[in-house]
Amino acid sequence: MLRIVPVASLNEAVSLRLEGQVRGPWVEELRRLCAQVLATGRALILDMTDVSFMDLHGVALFRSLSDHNVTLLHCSLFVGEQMKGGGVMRTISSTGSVSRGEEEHLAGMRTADVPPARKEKSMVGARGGAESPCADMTEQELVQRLQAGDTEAFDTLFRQHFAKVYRQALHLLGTATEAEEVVQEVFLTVYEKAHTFRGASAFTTWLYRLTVNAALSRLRRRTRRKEIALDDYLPQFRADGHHLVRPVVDWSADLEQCLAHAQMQQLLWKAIELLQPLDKAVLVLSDFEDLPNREIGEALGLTVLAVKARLHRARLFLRGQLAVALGHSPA
Amino acid sequence: MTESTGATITCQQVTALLIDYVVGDLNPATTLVLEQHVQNCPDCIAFLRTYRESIRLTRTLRYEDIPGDLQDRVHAVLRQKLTGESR
Repeated sequence: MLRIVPVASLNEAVSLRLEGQVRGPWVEELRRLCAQVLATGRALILDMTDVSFMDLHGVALFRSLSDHNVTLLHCSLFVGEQMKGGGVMRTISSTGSVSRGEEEHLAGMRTADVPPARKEKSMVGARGGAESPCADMTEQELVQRLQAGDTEAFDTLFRQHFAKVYRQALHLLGTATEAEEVVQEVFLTVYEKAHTFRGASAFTTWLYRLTVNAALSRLRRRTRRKEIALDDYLPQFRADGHHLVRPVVDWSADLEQCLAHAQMQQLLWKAIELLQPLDKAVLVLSDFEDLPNREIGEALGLTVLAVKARLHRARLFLRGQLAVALGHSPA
Repeated sequence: MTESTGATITCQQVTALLIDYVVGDLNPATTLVLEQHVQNCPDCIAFLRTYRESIRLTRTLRYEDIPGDLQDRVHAVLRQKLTGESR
């Protein structure tokens, strides 16, 4: 929402204070008001102190206004960066001086000629289409622009990380439909909560954390299947530390002779489905995604020791499932 | 041939250390003790081999490729949601 508060109206100038977010229908409303003032031949002063966000249409509006007799006051660094994003504005004053864009870029652009479709184009063309100005930016730059509401930066980050997020969700959930829903959920959160990302960890770590948490939340909501006693598939030991069932059979060379590859894969998938959600998440991030234990811990809120303990247990369980499928003891 | 350290561990302790051993994360002294045990323990040799094989097979699992139009489709839905929210 945007509040447009008249501050002063003198013979020579009208001053308006803007409070809130310049986005959506408020851009049009603001443009209409500005056009009315400018049509009277008076100067317009916009106090930007309390503007917290602007979408691309808002940015385009302010750029076009800078070609008129308009003064932008007290632009925050945040808003200033947003407007500088496209390389059009040279300066956005935070001290009250007049802001002017580059004349050649703005020549011919009138208040009524704000390009309406920039956002649409940037978002549609996300997959290998038109070259985005964000394409060569570092991740840090992209995140900063995303935090300023730049949808092109969002598009680029989406394009860069879509496959990884989708695969991660698919491996955790096992169904394409749910994985797709998680991807949507994650990227919506990325867009809406970008301002909460403080950069204490890498953006990818944050992204994986969102993905894993969204998937885990679904896994935990699922109706629990018949509980399986995991311990039945883990190795057992005697009091003196020896294997309980001896001899332990080495079936490592027999596995692919006894089971067709597809059969063996199906068996493993089923076994993975039986793991506790958190154990499954650790296994997926480690053995499918190749993430180091430290990053897995950051994504799941676990210590490295806890990650290793869960990973080891999951692997022992899968080993036990394979052993039993071949007619041996998990030992 | 490795030198004996005099220290011994059990099969249960060897099993607990395997997660670090298979990726070379054990310190040299512990690695030596573990390997001395495994060399003389057919049960642990078998267990180690089957443990490694299980990991190898798990790592071969992958879901099928991502459908070609999926990225565009998800993106279109996101666009709809994001532009809808800004209204």
